[in-house]
Amino acid sequence: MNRRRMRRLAVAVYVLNVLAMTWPVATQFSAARPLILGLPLSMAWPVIWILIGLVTLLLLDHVENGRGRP
Amino acid sequence: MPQWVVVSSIIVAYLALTLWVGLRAGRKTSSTVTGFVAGDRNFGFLVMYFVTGATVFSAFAFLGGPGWAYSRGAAAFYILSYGVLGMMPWYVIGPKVARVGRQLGQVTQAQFITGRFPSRGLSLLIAIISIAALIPYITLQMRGAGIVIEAVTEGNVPLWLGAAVAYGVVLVYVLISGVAAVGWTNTLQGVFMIGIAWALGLYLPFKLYGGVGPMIDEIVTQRPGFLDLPGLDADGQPWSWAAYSSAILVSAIGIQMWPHLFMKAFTARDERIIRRTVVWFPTFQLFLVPVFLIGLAGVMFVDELAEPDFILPHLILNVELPLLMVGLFCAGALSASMSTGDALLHATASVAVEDGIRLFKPLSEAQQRYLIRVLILVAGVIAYFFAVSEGMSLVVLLLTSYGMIAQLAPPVVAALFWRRATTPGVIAGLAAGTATALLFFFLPDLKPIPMHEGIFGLCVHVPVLLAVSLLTPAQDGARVEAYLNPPSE
Repeated sequence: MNRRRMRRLAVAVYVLNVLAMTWPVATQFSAARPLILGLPLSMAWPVIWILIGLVTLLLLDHVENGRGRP
Repeated sequence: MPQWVVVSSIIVAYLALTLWVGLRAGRKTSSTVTGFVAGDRNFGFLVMYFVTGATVFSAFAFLGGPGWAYSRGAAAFYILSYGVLGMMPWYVIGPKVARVGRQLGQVTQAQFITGRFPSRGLSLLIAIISIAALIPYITLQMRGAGIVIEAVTEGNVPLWLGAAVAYGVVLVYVLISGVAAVGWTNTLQGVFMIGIAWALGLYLPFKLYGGVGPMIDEIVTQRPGFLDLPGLDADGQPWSWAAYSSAILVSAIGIQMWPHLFMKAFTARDERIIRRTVVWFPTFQLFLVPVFLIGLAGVMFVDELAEPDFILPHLILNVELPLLMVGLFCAGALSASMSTGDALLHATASVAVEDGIRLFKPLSEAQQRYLIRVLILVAGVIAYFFAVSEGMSLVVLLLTSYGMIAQLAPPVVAALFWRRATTPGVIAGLAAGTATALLFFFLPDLKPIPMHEGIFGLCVHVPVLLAVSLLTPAQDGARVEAYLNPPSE
């Protein structure tokens, strides 16, 4: 993937993350059940987004840095 | 030997180790202001990773996090939600700030902002906002340390003594080694915090409920709604979505604007290190998962604790943990407190000298270093005074300070990205935003919807910044260019 597309993807993930954590989208994931790996859904939901953030940043850094940027 | 003596010995050993690391750290730093405040811009990746993580997560996270989960249920999960949102933009902004800082020799946030928008008044305003936010924050860290030591020694070491000893150690290493000590001790403290949080966060649910899943299952069955977002407010009533969502937004905007975190951009050896720190920050953020599990472990076992922040020490003492675990828990909590407290003390004094006093009285490098040290001591004494005196509503002060700190975000973004921003625009925006946040904090009944006052502040701040900037003459090209397109290294 080229750098511009990767940056756009990162911005898109960021916007989705903001929406996912706040009203009204978060209301769809606000219940305690089902449990996911023992955690309530309401807690697993932000944890999932932390992991998505980590993967996005790793990809972004890989692409940005793989092209000989300082 | 009484139990508390064993526990105290572990604490003393831990504090001695921290002191040793802190004192060793400063040996290679130069005797300059850049050395003392920005570590000669020579922090590597490992140190930056732990400085960022351990500084973000304070005694507030280690004691307050379980307290929130225990008393307010799902409301605590907002703390999980904003970290990555707050850090991701720093991937772009952090390296730019570092580049400008290196070019123009800056070591503080106000220097960075006034480098583009020159004004002594603006510098002073930023210094005042920063210090007003930092002092209650330090006080909370000291109280946290004192509370933990008092609890695990069964009152044999009172709060005032515990806080004095722990922060005596902090003062010694910060005074002697400057920010280098903050870096290396935070690395040690970060390892302790994460290790102990995970150990306890898994141990307690297994010991008390037979596992994490069974624990959550029991809570959901016994307390329906408790783990549904947005959880409860401080009075145990359902929290509103507006308050929950705006708490996430204002924290995400504010997190990197805290002076003690912002200033660390000037300590990194190169831009690559700042980027990698941002990339790996989410792994540190996950440390909140066991922290909340600890708090939730108390829900079915401890009836109505008057002060929920005590849930962690309370559980530790009532679950018959092995003494070594109690001692290590204490070391973890002290780590969380001290790793934030040291950075806060150092930042407060640096800001006061660099952005306040130096504007009105020219100082040599040696005088600046000397004065910063004196003020670290003064800030420590003031915060200690508040920490040991009862009845100070500090949590309240800290909560409002986030609303004020978030107001530093528009000037930083404008400095780096908006050519047309002007000094009067930035001053007017900052003044209007801060005033609005303070107004709604003191008169919450005026709020049209129950959102965080910092958001209202920003809603006024940004339009004022835009309008006044467009109505005043544009800045000259060279200054703007240095910020919008800083030459790379």
